[in-house]
Amino acid sequence: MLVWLFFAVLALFSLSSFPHEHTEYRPGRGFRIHSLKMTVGGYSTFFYKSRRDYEEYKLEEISLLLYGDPLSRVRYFLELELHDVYRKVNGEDRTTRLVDIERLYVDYEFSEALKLRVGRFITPLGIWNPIHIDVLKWTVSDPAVVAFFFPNFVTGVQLFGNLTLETDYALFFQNNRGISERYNNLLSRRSAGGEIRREIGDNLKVAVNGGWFDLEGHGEISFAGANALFTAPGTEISGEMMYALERRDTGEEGRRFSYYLQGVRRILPRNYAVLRYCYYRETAEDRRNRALTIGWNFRPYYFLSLKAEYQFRERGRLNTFFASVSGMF
Amino acid sequence: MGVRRLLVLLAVLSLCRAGDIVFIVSERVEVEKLTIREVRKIFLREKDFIDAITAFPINLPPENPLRKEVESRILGMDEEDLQLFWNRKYLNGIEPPLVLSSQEAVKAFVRKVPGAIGYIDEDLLRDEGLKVVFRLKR
Repeated sequence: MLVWLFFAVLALFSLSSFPHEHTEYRPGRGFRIHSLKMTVGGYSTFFYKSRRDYEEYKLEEISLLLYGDPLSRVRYFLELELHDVYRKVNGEDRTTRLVDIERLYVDYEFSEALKLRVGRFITPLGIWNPIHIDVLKWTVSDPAVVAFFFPNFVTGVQLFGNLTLETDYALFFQNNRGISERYNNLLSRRSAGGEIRREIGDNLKVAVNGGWFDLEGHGEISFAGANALFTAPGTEISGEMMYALERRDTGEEGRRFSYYLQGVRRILPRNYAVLRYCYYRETAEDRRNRALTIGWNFRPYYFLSLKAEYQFRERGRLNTFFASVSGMF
Repeated sequence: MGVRRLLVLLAVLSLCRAGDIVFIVSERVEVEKLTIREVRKIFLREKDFIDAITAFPINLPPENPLRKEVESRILGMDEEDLQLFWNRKYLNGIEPPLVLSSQEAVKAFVRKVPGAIGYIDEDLLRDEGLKVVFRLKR
């Protein structure tokens, strides 16, 4: 908490000391300090979830972003996050207020085809994982493809770039303990993977990906997937599927498979209807889930998102209502 | 009937007077032509280089008619979609193109900074030191 406050106060003081003509603030786009080629901003989310025997509401996060491009080929990015600022589950206080380094990296651009990223970054796989931030998502809930197939964050090296005007790629490697391990969906210290994406025409992007990671002390997972994204003014259709093979150190093997298909349509200015079908299957524990999500996303301003959705689950008692208010500053 | 013909003639004449929108770079940059897809990607910050020099796209202010035409015909997005697009970029540390207040300012900046690319009305293109790399017909 103290660390967080320290950074926030430091940022505000340093901003206020700049002459006005050097600093520009735009709602949802942060402070741009032109003389330093640096931006300071952030985002926050209030989250609500309710089903038959469960109710949770929380101020999920307050994130501070600091990034810049001090040299023409160099960029840096820092995201500090204060988690669970206020959280109640079934009336019980679960507030943690832990500070986490969500992202911390430096980029160097050798050329259009070869860029290097070193640090902790979002795993560059799929459509959903790179836009995991609530204010960017169309729904509050996430599909299973981002939860059980690969770690959401990597601490290591990424190579990426545009091979042609229509084709880009990303490769990543990790071989260390990792920064902020506790804030990752899967605990892993060694991983490697990549994705190659291709644009077809002006509206369609398709991609395939694959990789491997160890489950710290338990085994390893190999995975492969594909995804497609269609966009047109006011419309977005996306789908992803993932397959994984898990080998435990005990000799057991398990398979996971998941996919989702989502459609988003602007029905009125700043109002979007969302429909998503999601399937998940896991053989090791013989689990299967299917979920149909119907949602509404209202963006009164570009930096503010209000969402509400109802998720129909295979077992009716798990049907869940979600809502959130999230904004960028 | 005569009035109608006169109106049609005036409309045709007014169309003829509107110059194309031209995308300009410094003449020191070795690229001669860009495709519409390259221009689109540069202005969406998805292509980072022009001729091995870091690309530096320049926009006019949001209310400028040239910018509105570029956004709809080159970028292919309406205002709401563009805002959502830049939300994603912002939260990944990528700034939208720098905004300059006038076409004269765009010309001056592009002439001075290698890698800078901006757009102006063709009628204003008189200066030496600038090169047209893409033309948007009007």
